[in-house]
Amino acid sequence: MFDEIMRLATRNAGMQMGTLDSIAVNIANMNTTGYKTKRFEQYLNNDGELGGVNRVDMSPGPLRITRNEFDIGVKGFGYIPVTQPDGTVAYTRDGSLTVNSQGYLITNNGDIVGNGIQLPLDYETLQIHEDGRVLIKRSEKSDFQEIGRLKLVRFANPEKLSSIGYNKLVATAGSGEAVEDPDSILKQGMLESANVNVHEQVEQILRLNASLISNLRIIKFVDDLYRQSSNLRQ
Amino acid sequence: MVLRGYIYDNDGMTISMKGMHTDVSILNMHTDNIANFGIPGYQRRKPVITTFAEYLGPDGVDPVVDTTIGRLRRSGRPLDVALSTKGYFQRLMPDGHIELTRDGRFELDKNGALRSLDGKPILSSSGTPVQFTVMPTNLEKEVKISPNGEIQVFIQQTGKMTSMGKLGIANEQGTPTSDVNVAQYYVEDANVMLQDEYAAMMPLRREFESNRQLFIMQNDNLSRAIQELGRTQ
Repeated sequence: MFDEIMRLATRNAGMQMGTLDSIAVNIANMNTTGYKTKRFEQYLNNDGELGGVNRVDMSPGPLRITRNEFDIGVKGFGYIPVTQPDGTVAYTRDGSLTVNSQGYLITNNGDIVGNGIQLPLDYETLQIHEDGRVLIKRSEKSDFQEIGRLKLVRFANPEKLSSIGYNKLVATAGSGEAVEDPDSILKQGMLESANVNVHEQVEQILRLNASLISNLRIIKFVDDLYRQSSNLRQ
Repeated sequence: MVLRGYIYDNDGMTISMKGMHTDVSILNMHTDNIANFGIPGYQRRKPVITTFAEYLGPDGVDPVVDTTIGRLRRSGRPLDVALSTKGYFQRLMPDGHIELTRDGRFELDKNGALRSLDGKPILSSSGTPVQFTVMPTNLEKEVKISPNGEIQVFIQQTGKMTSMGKLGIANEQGTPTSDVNVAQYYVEDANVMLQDEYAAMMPLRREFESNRQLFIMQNDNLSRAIQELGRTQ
C-alpha cells in the first residue's frame, strides 16, 4: 500500500515535469516565426491512472510587419507547401523566404517553396499577391509579369500534423490529406509571430509549482510512515 | 505438560494493526486527491469511515465522490467546455460501455467526430457519438456551444448556424438530464483544495503514531508476560 502511494506520487511528479518541458519549449520559442504553442494535457484514464497527451494550439499568431519583400505571412489557417531536397513535400507557416543560387524562392532552411518559383536575374521588384500570385517587374517602366503561383493548403485536423523540425510539418494519417485553401490569404512584408501567451505560461508554472511541491511532501510523509511501520519493535 | 489457550483474534494488537492499515488507506485517498489536483473535472474522494471500522480495518473506509462543482477557469479554447451544474459528459469506451466524466476538453478528429483527450467518442443526447457533418476551419469563429449543450457550426455557403447535435449530459446514475448549463471556452478545475488535504493528513499522522505506540506497548507487555510466565525458577 505504501509503495502504491509512492508510485503514484512519483509518477505524478514525472507528469508535472512533462508539463514543465512544454512550458520551457514555449517560452524558448516565443520569438520563433510561425511557432505554435504546445501544451501537455493530463487526464485520468478509466482505471484511475494518470495519462498525458501533447497537444498543439494551431490558431494563427499575430502578423508582424517587417517591410521585407521576401517575407510572407499567412492570414488564416493555411500552410505553405515546400519541397524538401529529397523531393518530399512538407508544410510550413514560416514565410521568411530567400533566394538560392539558381534563383528559386526557398525557405530559411533551404527548401524550395511550392513546386519551384524561379526569379530571373534581372528583376527589379517582387510582388506576392494575397491570392498567391508571384509577380516581378524587370525595370521601372515595364509591367508586372506573373512568374508563378503559391498555393496554400489546409488540413482537416491540423493538430495531428507531425513536426519534423525547422518549422516544418508533414501530413499524417490523423491530419488528413492536404486540400487547397481558398480562404487564407498571403500578406507580403509580414511575418507570423508565435502564438505563445506568456501570461498563460506563467500561470501554468505557478499551478505546476504547487502540485510539484505537494507531491514531494507526500513522498516525505509516506516515507516517514513507512519507516515507522517497518520499525515496530522500539 | 500441555499448554492450552489461543491467540484472541480481535485483541488490542490486531486492532492497533488494523488502525494503522486504515490510516494508510485514508492517506491513499488524500494522495489521490493531491496527485489529481491539476486535472480538469476531477472530483475529490472523501474518506467515509463506517461503524465497526476497528474490526473491518481498511475495508471499513469508503471513498465517496465529492460532487461539489470546481471553479471554472477560462481557457479560451473553443472545444473546451465545462459544466457549471452537476452532471457528466458521456464517453463511449471501445468495448461499448459508457463512462462518465466532467473533463470537457474535447477535440475534433479529421472525420469530424468529437473526441475526449484520450480519443474516446463523446455521446450526444440521442445516445450516438457527436459527429460534425461540416468541418469548421476556424473553430473559434465557427463553432458555438450554447448553455443547453447544443453544438452549432456556421456554414459559409448559407450564412447560417446549423446544429450538429446536443451534448448528452447524464447524472450520477447515468440517466440523461436536461437541467444543464454548459460553458464553452472554460474548463473546470478539480474540486480539490490542497490546504484541506494537508489539514486532514496532519491528524492522520498522529493517529498512525498513536496506533504504533499502542502496538509497541502491547507487544512489550506480551513479550514480558511470555518471559515471566516461562520462567521456572
